[in-house]
Amino acid sequence: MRTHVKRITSIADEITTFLLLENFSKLSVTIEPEGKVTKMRFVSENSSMTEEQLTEILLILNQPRQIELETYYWTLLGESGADMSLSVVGRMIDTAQGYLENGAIVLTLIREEIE
Amino acid sequence: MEIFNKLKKPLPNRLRVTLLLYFPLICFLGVMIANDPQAFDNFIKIQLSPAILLTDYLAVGGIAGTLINVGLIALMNILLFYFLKLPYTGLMFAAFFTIFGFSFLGMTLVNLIPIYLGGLLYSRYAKIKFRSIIMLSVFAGTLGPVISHLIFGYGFTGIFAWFLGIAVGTLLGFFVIPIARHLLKFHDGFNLYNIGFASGIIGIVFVSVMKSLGYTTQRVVLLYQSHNSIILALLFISCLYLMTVGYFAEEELIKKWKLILPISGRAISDFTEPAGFGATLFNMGLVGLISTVLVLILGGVVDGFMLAAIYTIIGFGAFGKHPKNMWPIFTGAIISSLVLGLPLSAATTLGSILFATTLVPIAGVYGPGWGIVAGFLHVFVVRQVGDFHGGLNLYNNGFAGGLVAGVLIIIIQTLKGGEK
Repeated sequence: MRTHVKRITSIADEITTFLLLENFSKLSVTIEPEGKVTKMRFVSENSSMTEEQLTEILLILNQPRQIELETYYWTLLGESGADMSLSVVGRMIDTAQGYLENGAIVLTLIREEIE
Repeated sequence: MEIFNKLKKPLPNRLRVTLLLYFPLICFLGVMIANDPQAFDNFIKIQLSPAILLTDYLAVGGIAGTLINVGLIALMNILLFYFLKLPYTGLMFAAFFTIFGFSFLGMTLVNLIPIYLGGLLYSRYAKIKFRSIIMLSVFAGTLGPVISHLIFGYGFTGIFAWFLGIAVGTLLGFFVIPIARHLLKFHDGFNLYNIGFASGIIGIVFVSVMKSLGYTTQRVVLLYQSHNSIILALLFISCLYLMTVGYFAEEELIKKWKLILPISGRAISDFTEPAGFGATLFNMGLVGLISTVLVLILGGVVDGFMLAAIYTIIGFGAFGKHPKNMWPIFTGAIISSLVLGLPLSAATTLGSILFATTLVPIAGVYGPGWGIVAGFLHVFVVRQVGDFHGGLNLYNNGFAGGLVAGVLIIIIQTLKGGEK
């Protein structure tokens, strides 16, 4: 359980830092565990991110889940801004959705706990 | 050309296992060509070797005996991957070819099985599936000499020696997984051979304990040091085979391969995802070919040590290495070898130059200038640190690379104003 929670907080750390580095403004993070599934929602206000940039990020975050990589490499998360960090997050989550709304970027990540 | 283009199609998943089966098969073919009546006896001789770095099995057991060892280890791993239903990822290729190469230089069936057993026990203990950590167990074969040396090298005898070797090997296989994971943060994924770094530290602790108890470890340099056409053919055909399969498995090969070049190489850089399976195989063959040609141009001999280095590069050609991030490392390592007055054709020098590519992420992230610095520093460090663990860690360059990366990235980040 502890490892599971640490992995969730590492993902949240990575995305939070990424969004704050992109735009240092109000940011809300919600983490909702429901059984084995955890939903993470990030809302970054006054974002200057373009649709193209968001699409590129969603492409990285929606890479296929790879348990073999996650088990080993998840400790690399937390040093945000590094070029491959989002790729590590992508390997650790099942789906990522996002959109821009009134200058805010809304990102939703879903991760299911797998043995 | 049009005919070749028509033949091109993506390789189906069920056929991917056959891609790797080629490697043990070509080894067994090499055994038949070598036609050595002593082949099986020599294979047994290799199994009973203390396996300390640098023990080139071509020198211990000849071509045929070595190829039996390499072929059986490759086959064992392919079957394991198959039954565990592992996906064909960059990490899997890196693990497979690393172990394939090091089966020429220190890994045997005897010293690998206890490490895998330790990994299996760890997965049970941590309540995770074995397939989640099998890659780490494969890489952890670097600690094989600890087991072989306990059974055949320290002077213990009989059942006790076997019990001790297997028990310690299983324990190391168990603990190397959390230790390696933890030590990844030391260099932030800038050293590709991280298990080598972790195993170097484990090796230092182990050697210190043994030394305090009165058991010393003597380094050896036992190299084959002569050209052999079967070995050269094995290497060239391996590279060309990967490039050819890559060519036929990818419709827009060069376009896809170019997607690999901007990738930094820092963990996790799995090329199979952005560039596809075919372009990844092509890149693996290409970096292998470049490394082989480099060895021959510098006047080196392709022996077991070189095979370990080149096959490891081939494997990581799917997980971090490509020509664009390799050349600065090669350049820096060659310059420092010249500064130190090392003969470029010597196996130990060439080994340092080739294995220095563990630091390609530095060139990929911070540019070729820092890549040259990393390669330059690596040769200085790797020449000194092998004695620390007494040659019990086969990935000595991974250990040195971890130290170089851990220090250098802090220097680079400080100079770039990372604290601001």
